[in-house]
Amino acid sequence: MDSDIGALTVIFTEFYYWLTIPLMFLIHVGFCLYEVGASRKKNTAHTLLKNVMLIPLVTITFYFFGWWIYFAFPNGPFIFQGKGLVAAPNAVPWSELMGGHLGGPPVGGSMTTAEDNAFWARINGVFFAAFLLFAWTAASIVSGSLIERVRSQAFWILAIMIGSVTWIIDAAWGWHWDGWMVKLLGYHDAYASGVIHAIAGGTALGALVHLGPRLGKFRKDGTPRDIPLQHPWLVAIGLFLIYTGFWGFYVACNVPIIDAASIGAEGSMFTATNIYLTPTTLSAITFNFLLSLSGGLLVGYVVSRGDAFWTFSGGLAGVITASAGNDLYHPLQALFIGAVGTYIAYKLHHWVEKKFHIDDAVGAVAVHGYAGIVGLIAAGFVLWGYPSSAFEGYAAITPWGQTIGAVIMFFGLGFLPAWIVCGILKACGVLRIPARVELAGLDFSNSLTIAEINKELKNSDLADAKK
Amino acid sequence: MVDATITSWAVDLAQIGVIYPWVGSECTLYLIGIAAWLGFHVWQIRFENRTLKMEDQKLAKGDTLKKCIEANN
Repeated sequence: MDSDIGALTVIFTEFYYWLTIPLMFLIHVGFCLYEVGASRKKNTAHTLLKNVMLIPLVTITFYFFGWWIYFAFPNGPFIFQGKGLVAAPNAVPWSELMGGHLGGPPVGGSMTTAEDNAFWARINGVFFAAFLLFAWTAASIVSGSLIERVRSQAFWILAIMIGSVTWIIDAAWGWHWDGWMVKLLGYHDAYASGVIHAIAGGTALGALVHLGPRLGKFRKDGTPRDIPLQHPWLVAIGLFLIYTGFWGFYVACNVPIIDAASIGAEGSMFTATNIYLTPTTLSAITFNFLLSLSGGLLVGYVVSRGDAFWTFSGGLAGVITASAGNDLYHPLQALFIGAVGTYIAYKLHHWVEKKFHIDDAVGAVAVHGYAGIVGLIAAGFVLWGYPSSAFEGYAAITPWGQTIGAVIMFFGLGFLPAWIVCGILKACGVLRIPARVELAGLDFSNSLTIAEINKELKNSDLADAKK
Repeated sequence: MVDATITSWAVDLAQIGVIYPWVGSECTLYLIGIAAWLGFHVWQIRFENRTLKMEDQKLAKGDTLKKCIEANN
């Protein structure tokens, strides 16, 4: 902060990211309402607790190692760039920059330099929080698919895996200005069709293969039963809160202000950029968010013949599909891409359900996973030839680069780790709750306790009334 | 009072870095945090196993499960 403009830029950036954090918190509120609305009354408290407890568990593990992974892993699995881990003095959990700091010189024995401190002191915490909220979102997406039969501990292991390990590895690879996927594949995923949604969908699918369907979901002849939404209005409010939080998510994906010269541009001006440091504007992404939401809602309504759940989810699928390229698309391109992604996600969900007996309770694999894959591949065609980076030496955006990226996100870092971890949990007998408890409901003990308390209160009232 | 990191704010703020207390204890705090995190999971696995086993046993008795299903629907 050696000049007035430098100081204003730093403080504006700090405040900008901080504002996105409570907005993104609404995504989690939305997911809680959404899951409770979709789960039956007998599982309400358990469903809420399962999702809420991922907050502390992902937060502490993200502090312990997740934040470091983002800065340390952009070179990939070492066979690609051969450079190994990158030093990350701002993100190691015992670094002085992982706490309150005014940017002054380092203390004796510190791993940071004066330059590190000056750059990161005011930004590290808010930047950490923005990435952490993405981690909660990724874990929360998986949570919905598994409701009413997964053990809490099993889910929390999965939540830590995706929230503090796999998603942040994919971010280091493909959502980092110097990630190997950007450099070598021209991977472009500005608002996380793949790095959040495809990986979360793949993780949910990998878990569902081992977890199996809810009891009663499939008839004896194998046809699926529709388990209706228990509270459609809660689902509606939940999804509206997710839409609201998604605005914060989009804003948090940008760098708000940067000197154009520092990213190699000519002339003297400031610009906003995406995570790859290529220019965009809040205005552009606002156009595209709204149009892709609309495309998804319209197609969701039509393709589901007016089903409330799939209409609301269609809006989300629309935004998710267009997100990979929503920094650059024309709004009507975002509309059509969102519409196509929603149609494919809806059709694939029902095909997979019937064909493979996968019981995805909230359609998360489809809305996040399939829509995310479609979005990545669509961006490869529509943005074909665009530079993936502001810097020289990076591959351009191509359909094949995006397709390989989609496979890495959905299968490599999503499906495969979840399939392995859930296979181990299943073998240990700690993946799924006992059948009788599932039939009675996970709130069985709570219900008994409440019934006993109510009985005692009733007797007490009757005794008082006799006096 | 242990050594406070900050003893006065009436100084050149550009020369102030860390503001939290007990500078130098970060690694120890980290190790305690890791132990607490792992400890939680061990406790949770035991707690969940015990609770589910107890509930399952209750539901196996008589027509408790049938009554629960009827009450739920």
